[in-house]
Amino acid sequence: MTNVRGALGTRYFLLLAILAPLAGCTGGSSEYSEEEIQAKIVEFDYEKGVQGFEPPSLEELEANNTWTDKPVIDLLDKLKKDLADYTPPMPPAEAVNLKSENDEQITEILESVKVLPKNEDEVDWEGTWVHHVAGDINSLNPLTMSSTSDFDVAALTGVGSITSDIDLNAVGNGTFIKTWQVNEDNTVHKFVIRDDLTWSDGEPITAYDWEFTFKLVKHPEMVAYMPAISSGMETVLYLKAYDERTFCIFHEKSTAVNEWKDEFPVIPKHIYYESIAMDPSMVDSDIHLELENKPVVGGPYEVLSRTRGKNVILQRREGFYMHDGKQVRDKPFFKNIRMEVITDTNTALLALSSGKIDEMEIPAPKWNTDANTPEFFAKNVRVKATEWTEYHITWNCESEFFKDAKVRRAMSYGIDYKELLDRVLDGLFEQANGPFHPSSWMSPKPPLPMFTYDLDKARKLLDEAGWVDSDADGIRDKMINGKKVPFHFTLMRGQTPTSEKVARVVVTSLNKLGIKVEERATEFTVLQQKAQDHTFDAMLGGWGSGTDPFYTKNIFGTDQTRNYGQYSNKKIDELYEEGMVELDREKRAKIYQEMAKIFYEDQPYTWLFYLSSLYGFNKDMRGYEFSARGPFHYSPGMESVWKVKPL
Amino acid sequence: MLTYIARRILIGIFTLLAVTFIVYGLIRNMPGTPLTIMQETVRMDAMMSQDQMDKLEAQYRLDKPWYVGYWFWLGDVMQGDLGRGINDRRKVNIIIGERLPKTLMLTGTSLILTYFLCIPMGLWSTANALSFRERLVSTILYILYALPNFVAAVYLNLIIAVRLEWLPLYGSTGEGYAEMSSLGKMWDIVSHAILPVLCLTYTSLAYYTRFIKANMMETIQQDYIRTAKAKGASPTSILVTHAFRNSLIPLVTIVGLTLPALLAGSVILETIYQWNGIGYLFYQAITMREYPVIMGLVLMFSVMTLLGQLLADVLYAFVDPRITYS
Repeated sequence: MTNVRGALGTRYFLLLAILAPLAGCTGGSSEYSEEEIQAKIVEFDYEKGVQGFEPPSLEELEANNTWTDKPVIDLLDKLKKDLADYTPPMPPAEAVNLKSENDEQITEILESVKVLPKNEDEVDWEGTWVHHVAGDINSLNPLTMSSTSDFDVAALTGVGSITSDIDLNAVGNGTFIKTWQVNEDNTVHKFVIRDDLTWSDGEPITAYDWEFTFKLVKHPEMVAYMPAISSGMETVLYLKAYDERTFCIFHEKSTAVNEWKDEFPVIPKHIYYESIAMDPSMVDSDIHLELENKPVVGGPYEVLSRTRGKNVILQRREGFYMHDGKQVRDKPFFKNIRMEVITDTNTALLALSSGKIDEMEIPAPKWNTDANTPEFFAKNVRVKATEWTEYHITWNCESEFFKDAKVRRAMSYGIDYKELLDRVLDGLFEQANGPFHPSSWMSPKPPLPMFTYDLDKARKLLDEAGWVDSDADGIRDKMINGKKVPFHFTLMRGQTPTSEKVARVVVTSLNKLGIKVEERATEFTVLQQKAQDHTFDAMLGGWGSGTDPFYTKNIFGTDQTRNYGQYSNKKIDELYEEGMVELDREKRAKIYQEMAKIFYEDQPYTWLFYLSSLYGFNKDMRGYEFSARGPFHYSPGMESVWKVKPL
Repeated sequence: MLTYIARRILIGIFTLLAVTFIVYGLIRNMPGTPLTIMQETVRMDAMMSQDQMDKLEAQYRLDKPWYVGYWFWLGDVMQGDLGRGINDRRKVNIIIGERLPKTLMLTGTSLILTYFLCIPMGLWSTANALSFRERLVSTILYILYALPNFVAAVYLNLIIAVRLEWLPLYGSTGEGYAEMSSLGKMWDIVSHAILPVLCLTYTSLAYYTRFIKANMMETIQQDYIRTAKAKGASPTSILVTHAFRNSLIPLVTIVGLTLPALLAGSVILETIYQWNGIGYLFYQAITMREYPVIMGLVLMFSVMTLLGQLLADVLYAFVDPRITYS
């Protein structure tokens, strides 16, 4: 035994020897002299990404432009006013005991719980909201955020000039902005920020912070570190701060989406000006390592602590709502918000049932199982609302099977929607017929009819397209370039339970048309690569709602980057161009409505359904209301949520 | 012995080079790159332009053929630089180093528990072979071996963590850990580790117990055991001194091979218990095509595997006097 013990000792020694280099830290930046820092700043050159544009002086701008005011609203304040005289259909404390057994109950719950407190005594001001996030928070620096969890943190801690309201319209963010004006051709946007803004370190937030951040966003060296923010900013030429409170954004041309390009998160210049020049990666130096865990922020909450893979704890920031001893904004409802990372859905549902977290998004397969038990209802209520996120089959329009629109239409008539939506998906989702949800402003009025399961129509269309069963083997075929090609294709899909269920229905439905479909579950990265390379016949997927229909250009425009199915229609391309430059909402709506009709005829996708936001909330939570992007991703969103004070 | 070890280390270095070269080639040739996912996380209205993609590819050396990229990677490793994560942009040694202690805590505890329990249980099973009690224990062990630990984890969570509220549901530490007393911290860590360690341990415990028993049953059929009995040695002495030492050789082989498993962690259990360890990191790195992180982990696993094998060979000499490396 002595020998074995000796050997074990050696083992641990060897183990430690191997681990030693792994446990080390980079050590961060060493001490630099002032000259070295200045040399680094010159070398980094903050102007590198914005060269070639000389902004005019403010006097010149004022003299040569006529300004139009755009809406600037503190949306939480507005919601408070809107709901001041609101009477819910039933007391919220009773509504949360309903079991969401039908749509009427769900509406009743949502209309009841959206209330804001009538008086301060109702609110648990010392409470903590434990907010579930399904993936780790990658970055607390708003410029390098990349996941939904990161965006949640940024929404509560960040500073920005534009936000979207519950209807997903662009609104000047009244929390930070005093005025927002645009010139007559919509190429120059002038902002004046409020004079009562401070960063969490007590320094004032100024227009120079916007200019500094913009130059970073445009800096060629920074693209690698913040692709999510840098992409799509090519048409924004310059952001010039004229004084501490006034800045202008210069756009290349007038478009209907310029206002959305004004929106990017802002970071404090006084903190990062030197440090980024020294360490553009923003993760190596000591100061950046420190800031990554405790950033200087300007929003209603600041970061109290961060444990990777576990949680980020935010705390209410007095400097946000108090200024010079006066309350200047609404006091945030929670003392702390704990963003709790739980990757496993089953564990998260158990945590919700046992009251360890206060809300979570419920995966569809769990709605009628784990989220429908006495344990769940003891502490929680479940709610659902339709999202503008559609789920579809992408047809590769360059594939020999799906070149012809008649075939794609036949596919859309060949899906058993009733079986899919009512039986397989438990009636949780509503059928879709295009990229724009029928309730959206860009959707045709009256709505286009839904595709129905019509095998006769589908067979006729396939016959017309030349796909017939010539050899009576039960599979349709067609002569292509002198070769008989059987209608046998692969439907690629992700690995989620929902996509598996959908694929099965598609396979069974299309088999009845004499089409052999093989479904293939594929890892997400492989699926994306195949989509980007267009090396597939058909693929299941979904697109979430952007704030503007223009965003779909990237999906359906000829040769556009996300046009995985290689769909091409000249008219659609023209309409996208028209839609981009037309500023009048009604005229724009007509353009996109016309596009929706063309999509309906062309069927580049077979649209299957719109997803629903399915959520479970602790019974003590109030103030949540759903937009087309769920309960949080709009303004006020998370900021209007509050918790009832315990008795 | 030293010459033998030196030779094995030399062979090990070549093996390491071969393993890392092959793995690097494989992952670089898998469909998708780190930029595939990055493309999907950018703004809805745009994807990265070709120019942006080119810059990123150059920055992460994805623009070079894989066999060239490998030599760059190897060159960096020789200088002690494992590279930087592509999505998680920190240095790979920090990313791995942050998770290693958590994994070691689970797997190390589990391994120690397994060995502490499996040896007496194996010996007891041998001594009581064919008795009703032994058959009952064997049946239970078979059932445990067949029961997937992620299924057990879900039920243990439901009963022990949610219904009875005896132990925490997930995580490696609780809220307010930083403010706890030393004893409080210790209990907090232990209480969080009990369920995952239990799930991680029972299958290997069942396996090793059966393994020891099977080996012991074979050994006690040997002539020298009969001789020992004839000489009047006590049953305990026969079992422990004569039989067990000779059954140790196969066990030592397994001990050597479990060394890499110490660091590998468990993807499923780490996910269920939100135990941010190496297993989940490896899984994430593969799905995100985080080449530098994958290579860092492969290097670590390879070194540990080679060390484990070397260790097993050295241990043979300790447990079996017939083996020498001179």
